[in-house]
Amino acid sequence: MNVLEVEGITKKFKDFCLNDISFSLPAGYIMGYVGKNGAGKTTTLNIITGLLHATSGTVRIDGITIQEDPIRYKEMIGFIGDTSFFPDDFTGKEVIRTLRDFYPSFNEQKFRAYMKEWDLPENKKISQFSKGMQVRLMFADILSRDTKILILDEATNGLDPVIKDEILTLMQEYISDGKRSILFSTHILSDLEQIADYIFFIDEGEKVMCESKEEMVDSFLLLKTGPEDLTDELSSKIIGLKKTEVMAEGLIRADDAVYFTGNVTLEKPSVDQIVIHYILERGKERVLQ
Amino acid sequence: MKEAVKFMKIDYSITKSQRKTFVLFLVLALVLMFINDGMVSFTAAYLSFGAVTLATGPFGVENFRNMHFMCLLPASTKSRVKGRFLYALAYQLIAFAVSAFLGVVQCMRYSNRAGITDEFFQFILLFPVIMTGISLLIVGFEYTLLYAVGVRKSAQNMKVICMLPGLLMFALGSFAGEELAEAGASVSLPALAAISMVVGILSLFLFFEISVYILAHRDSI
Amino acid sequence: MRVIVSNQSELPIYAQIREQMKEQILDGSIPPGTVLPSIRQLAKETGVSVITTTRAYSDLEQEGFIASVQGKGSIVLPKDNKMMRENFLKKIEEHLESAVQLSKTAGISKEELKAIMEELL
Repeated sequence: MNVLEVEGITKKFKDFCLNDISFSLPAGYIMGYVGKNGAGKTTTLNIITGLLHATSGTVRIDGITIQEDPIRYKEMIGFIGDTSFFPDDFTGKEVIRTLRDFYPSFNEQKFRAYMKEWDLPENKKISQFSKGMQVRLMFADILSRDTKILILDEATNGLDPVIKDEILTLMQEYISDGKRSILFSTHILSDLEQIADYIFFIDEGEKVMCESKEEMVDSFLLLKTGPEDLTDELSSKIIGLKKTEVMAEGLIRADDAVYFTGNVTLEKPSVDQIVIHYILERGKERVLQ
Repeated sequence: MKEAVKFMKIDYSITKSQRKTFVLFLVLALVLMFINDGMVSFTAAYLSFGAVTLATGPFGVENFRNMHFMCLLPASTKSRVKGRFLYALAYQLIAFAVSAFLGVVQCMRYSNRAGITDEFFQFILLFPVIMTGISLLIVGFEYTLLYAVGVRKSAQNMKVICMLPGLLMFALGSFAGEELAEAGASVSLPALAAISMVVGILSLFLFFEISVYILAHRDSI
Repeated sequence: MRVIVSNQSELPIYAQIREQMKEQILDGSIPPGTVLPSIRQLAKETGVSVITTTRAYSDLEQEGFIASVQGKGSIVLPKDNKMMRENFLKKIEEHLESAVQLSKTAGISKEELKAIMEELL
């Protein structure tokens, strides 16, 4: 059962284009949506949340599109962005009133309990909350009502490590019943790599790869060797080769490890490293074109 | 309708700080005018200017950052727009009520003076109605314009669009007020008032439908 | 029960979990019949992804260490159960096979190899 199904999403802007993005997210799992700044992450998420209209393609949450039932569609979404979500003048009181008005499943006691637990004042303007407090407020909101998907758009930017850790725990708590899923976008994957089940890597508006994090990490190796130790043939097998005076570093497919028998160091790559080297490689290919 | 009222509450909340300063300014000016025995036409025009300009408040507060909040609330586009139009309507009605009240007070003041015609009293009471009718038309047009423009990076343009209709109202209103006051019997004030209200209400509905269409079909940011 | 996961290890995380649980089952610190934490619970407690713990558990099940019971979760099987035994026998055969290959390559005789085996046993 898929919580989210994105099919053939295309969005044309004046100087940027999101091209044929498709993926599914099954219930109970976490997907990291990664890529460099400007790759199309926020655009994709804005299409999923309905802020932008796709030029073509469909998005389904729990089987329905936003056109079919905009109210039910939006009820299922919890969203945390990297800026303050609520209007500046809002205090906790207005937040509670709004949630009560618009979300039938909103549980006010639960919300108040979270506010108390996390020391969030009810009468202070939200705009005066620290960033960490704002994110906690969003979690209080989302955990107090019934949602199917939690979407985070660069939500951990500028947060201290302690809060980031708290967020990881909250995220795992969110999916622990196996019925809800999380889609989070970030350009700093090290934050959340550990708990991600799936990775969708986007670059220049296109899908580069989409698979389970385990498979992704298993199918590559990070290679380090001396710059003179690489023949041209060997170099061609390397993705995103970086050469300095003293070191050559790049990504190779795990199967290609047999070709590198000399003095090389082979390491398990992090998803960040896979992304970096692929972006480097694609950059080179674009220059050649 | 219930959903629309929820949105009206939100629009009211987000414009809290904006409203405080503006309302203060309005009330102050009003008091000064009244002390100076100001003409009701001037007052009514002034209040309409205030109502039409205050109505643009929510648009001024919306920006890239809080669009997610507005757009993700589970409700139809129609309710969202309806809520805001109700917000605008509320201001016009308040302006009308205050003008009418001041008009009545002025009537009572003038009732003992010599040389004041019946047409004058009629004018004092009907002019606010005419102004309200026109303000409904203007606010509907202004809203449609603001929905079409959407959230833009240039706050300057937004400010212009928000202030201009109000100022226009004020200028036209004062001018019309003077002309009508002098025209006296040659113009049928009740007819004018009726026409103005009908045109105002119809155009409000028309602009509402157009606004819903625009908002439903454009990108929100 | 103790599961410690490290990013510095050469082993992928699912393998670390698998091996650590295997060890504890074999040395008895996790007795047979124990109901293990669910896949999702374990993921939460160790801070890893659900797919990772799923894989670790599925490996353990395949090798005969645990079995999943409808409605209860995963249960530790008794040590000398048939599947585990078969698995171990297979591994022993593989290891011995490579020893035999090596001896052939090195030109070491059958008798020498047998002697080494005797000593080790």
